[in-house]
Amino acid sequence: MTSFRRELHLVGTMADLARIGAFIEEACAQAHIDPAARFDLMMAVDEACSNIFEHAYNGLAGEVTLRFETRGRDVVITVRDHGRAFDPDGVPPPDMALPLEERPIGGLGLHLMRQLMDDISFTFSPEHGNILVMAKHGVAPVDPPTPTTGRRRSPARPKP
Amino acid sequence: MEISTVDMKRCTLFRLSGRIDGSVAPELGSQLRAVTDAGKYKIVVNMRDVTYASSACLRELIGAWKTCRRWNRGDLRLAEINPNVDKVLDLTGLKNQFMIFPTEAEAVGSF
Repeated sequence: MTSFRRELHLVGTMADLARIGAFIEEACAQAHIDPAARFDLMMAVDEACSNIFEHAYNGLAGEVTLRFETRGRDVVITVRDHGRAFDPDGVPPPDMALPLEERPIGGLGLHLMRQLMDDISFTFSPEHGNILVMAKHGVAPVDPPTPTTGRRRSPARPKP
Repeated sequence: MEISTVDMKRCTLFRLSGRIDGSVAPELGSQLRAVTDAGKYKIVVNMRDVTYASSACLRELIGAWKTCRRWNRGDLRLAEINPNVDKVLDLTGLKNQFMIFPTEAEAVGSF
């Protein structure tokens, strides 16, 4: 069941990352997301969009659609773009055992996304482009605000 | 993001503030390179007022760190990192790679 949903659609560049961060922070506040999880959500989305603008659109302006929603106590964030197809298997995770001098610099963004979120999946189709779905479990309130008014609902809940 | 630099006797001090994401991290990189290109390889970066540091910020710090440490000619050390930056450094395995000091004075004094 989807209880809360916000969308942001933009044609943007790296310069829009702060605006995207503000969108996530605002959605977290409206949905009363656990404050301890808000930074993780904001950062995961920032890293995802940064990769899109840098790699999928190669630094040029491109279309991105973000959806922030709660499903039960989970937050699910979907990020769509129509840039170059992204293959996560082509980005090896950073080898933490290596001394920093020998470590390649890339791959940190994807690594952080995986660390900050519980589930993460990438799909690509020529028709729909890249679709990234990230979820974080147990961070939305049991009784979320309604999507339109932001007020908390107070349904009569059966006692267990 | 705002950057101020102070040339000190022992090192160059960078004080960073604000949000350092992929749109502004290249500017941080170019200011760090300007210092190392001038032959100064002892750098302290005070991150007390950094509200957000993305992987793009880390890449610039790592790049400068590598340049400074080449041939044991210097180092890039961090000071006054806040909990959010601390978390990002931890998740990326960088916390034990950078020398990190609780105060700017201690970081500057370490050179």
